[in-house]
This record gives sequence, structure tokens and C-alpha cells, in this order.
Amino acid sequence: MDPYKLLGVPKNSSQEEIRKAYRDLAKKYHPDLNPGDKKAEEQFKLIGVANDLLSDPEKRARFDRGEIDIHGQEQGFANGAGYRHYADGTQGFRYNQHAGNSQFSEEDLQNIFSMFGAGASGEGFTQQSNPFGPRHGQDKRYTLEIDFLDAVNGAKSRITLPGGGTLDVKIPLGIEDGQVLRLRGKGDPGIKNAPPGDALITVHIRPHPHFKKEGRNIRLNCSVPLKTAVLGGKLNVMTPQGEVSLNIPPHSDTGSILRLRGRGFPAKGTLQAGDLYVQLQVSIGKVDKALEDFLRNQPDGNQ
Amino acid sequence: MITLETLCLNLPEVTSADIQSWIQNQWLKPEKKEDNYLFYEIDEARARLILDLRDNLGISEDAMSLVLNLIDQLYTTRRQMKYLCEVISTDHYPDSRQKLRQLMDEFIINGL
Repeated sequence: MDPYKLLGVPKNSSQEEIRKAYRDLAKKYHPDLNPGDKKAEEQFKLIGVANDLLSDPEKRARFDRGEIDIHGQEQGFANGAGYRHYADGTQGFRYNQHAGNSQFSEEDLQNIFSMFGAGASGEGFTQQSNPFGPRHGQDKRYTLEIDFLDAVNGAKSRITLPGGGTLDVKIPLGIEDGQVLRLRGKGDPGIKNAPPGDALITVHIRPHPHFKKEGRNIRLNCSVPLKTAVLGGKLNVMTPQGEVSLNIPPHSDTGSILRLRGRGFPAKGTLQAGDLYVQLQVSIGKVDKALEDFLRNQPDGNQ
Repeated sequence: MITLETLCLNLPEVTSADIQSWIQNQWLKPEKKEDNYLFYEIDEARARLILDLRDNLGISEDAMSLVLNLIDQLYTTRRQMKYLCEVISTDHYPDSRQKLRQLMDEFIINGL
């Protein structure tokens, strides 16, 4: 419906002309002047709508540009919006423009994240747009097994590459099992002077015979002589960071746990350093006559 | 779900030959049951979209495949984005969340 036609005015008419045309028509079709005339009532409503639209310069401009219809509804691509309802719904999967799986594959996620990564360094996005232009080299993936103590303390390690050559890798202290290190520029070379890809190194930590990792903490079993356990005293304990002298309180027993604060995995980023938990294991050692006699004189059942 | 006949009744502007050729071009992908096609609501909405593109926006047959392909890519991406947002903001997909966390670690570790 065209509000100009409804009011009977040309498109380029002034606000004054529109107001005048509306008033004339409103008088003509006013329900009070045409009691019981349904058609007149209908017409009266329509010219009201037309006047509302045309008397508001902003709405009138939008209507003239075809952005809204006479009722102020957004125009254009009505069926596009109808289709969107379904395309964004569950049936939308049926027109997935993607091979296979409708959910994210690992590759999809990788691509998204490399977009973020590349975006941050000011490249990316445009990179993919021209398949014949310069291209980043491919990233290469490697795995590296490291010793438990190297994971705690950090180390330098070297990977021998399948095609010969080596890669020196600096293991940051406190690295986690499965963490991936990125060596910038150590992947495949780029095409047409584009920067090379990166080497991605997944780090696996070899288990240690004594130290057990629990989150950022480390557990350790340590045997303590009977005498030290009963009377208390010093005990030298090998921690991942080296030997320390531990104060054993009197009346310690097998299973007693002592905590060495900050002797676990070192602090990393926002993570605090873990602790080392030393679980004592009383070792009786060589038994002499005196101990035998002492125990013999103990009443049974008093352990 | 509706049959080809019903679809044609709902869309007076198209012939069944139109629909057949759209299916041939893979613009429409109705379900096939024995010798009949079954159309979902989305297929009907899509047929209306194709009509709109063809008749109101003057998209030629050659360009239509490209336009539909781009539209499909866009909706696939929208769906993935929505899924990704859900993985991040809810606990509904623990596996993907885990995978995402690993990937994030992988890319954040650059700062080391």
C-alpha cells in the first residue's frame, strides 16, 4: 500500500500539503460523520496510518528508500527471514555446506583458533583469501618425552627430526604433561616469502620411580629409621629440587605425611607453586639385642 | 513433511518441473522415499527463498548455485559459532570443552 496514493498527494509534496490532504480526507471519512459505514471506517484508519508515516520525516525517508512498509515493518528479503527461521533451526543441518560431521571437527576448531592467533599478529584472515598469493608454511607436529625432573626444573632438550637435523627445545619449568610448545618459524617454509610455519611439540612427561604428580603437588614415600621416627630428628630427603634436611617430629609413624611448602611444581603464570608431600615409612633396620629385650618385656597388645 | 504435489499447491508460482530441476541442481534436498519426494518445512522455506531470489532479485540460474552455496556456508558458520559459544558458556559439551581447552593452552603457551 502506498501512503501517498492513500492521501492523494504527489511524492514530492511538502509536509504542509500532506497535513492538509489528511485533514480533508479525515473529515470526509470520519466515523462520526459516516455512522455504520464500515468502508469509511476502514478508509479512515488507513489514512491515519499513512499520515503517521508521512508526517514523520525520518519514517517518510525510510519508506522512500524502501526500507520499511506503510506499517513501519522492515522490508526486503521477507523470504530470507523466513528461511533463516529454519536454517538456524534443527533442520538447518540438512543444508550444511561442509563435508561430513555437522559438529566441529578438530580441524575446524584449529582453523578458528589459528584465525585468532594470526589476527593478533596482524596477518591471518586476508592470508587465506588468495590461494595463489603468499602463504604461511604448514605447522609441523612433534612429540617429545621428557624426564619428570626436567618437567619440574625446566631443561634444554633436542629433537631429532625425521628428515635429519635437530631442533633445540627449551622446556619451561613446571610444564604439564600433554602441553604443547610452539617454536615459531620451525615448521615448513612459507610460499612466496611468507613466514614459515611453526613447530608444535607435544610434551609427555615420563613417570618417575619415586615422585608422583598430583596436580601441582608431588608425593614422595620416604623411609625413616625407627629411632628417628620415635624420638624425632633430622632426615635428609631428596626433593625434585635437591636434597633437604627434614625435621621429623617425635612419635611419627608409617603413613605420617609431612608437607614441604612450595617444593612441588614451580609457580607458573597464575598458578601457585605446588607442595611436596612426604609420606613416612618407618624402617626397623637392624635389630639389636637391647631392642629385642625391650620388646620382650612389653605386655602383649601394647603396640 | 509434504509431497511434491502439496508443495506445488503451496507455491502456485512454481511448476513441478521447476522443483525437479532444483532437486537435480541440489538446490533442494528433499528426502527420497521410494519414488516420492518428501519435503520438510525447511525445504518449502528454501523453495520460497529460491523463488524470491529468482523473481524479485533477478538471480540467474547460473548464479543461483553460487548464491545458495554461500548462504549455506553462512548458516553452517552461524551454527558452528553458536555451538562454540555454547561450548564456552555452558557445560553441555564436556568433550568439546576439553578439546577447546587444550587448543587454547596450545595457542596461549606462545606467551611462554
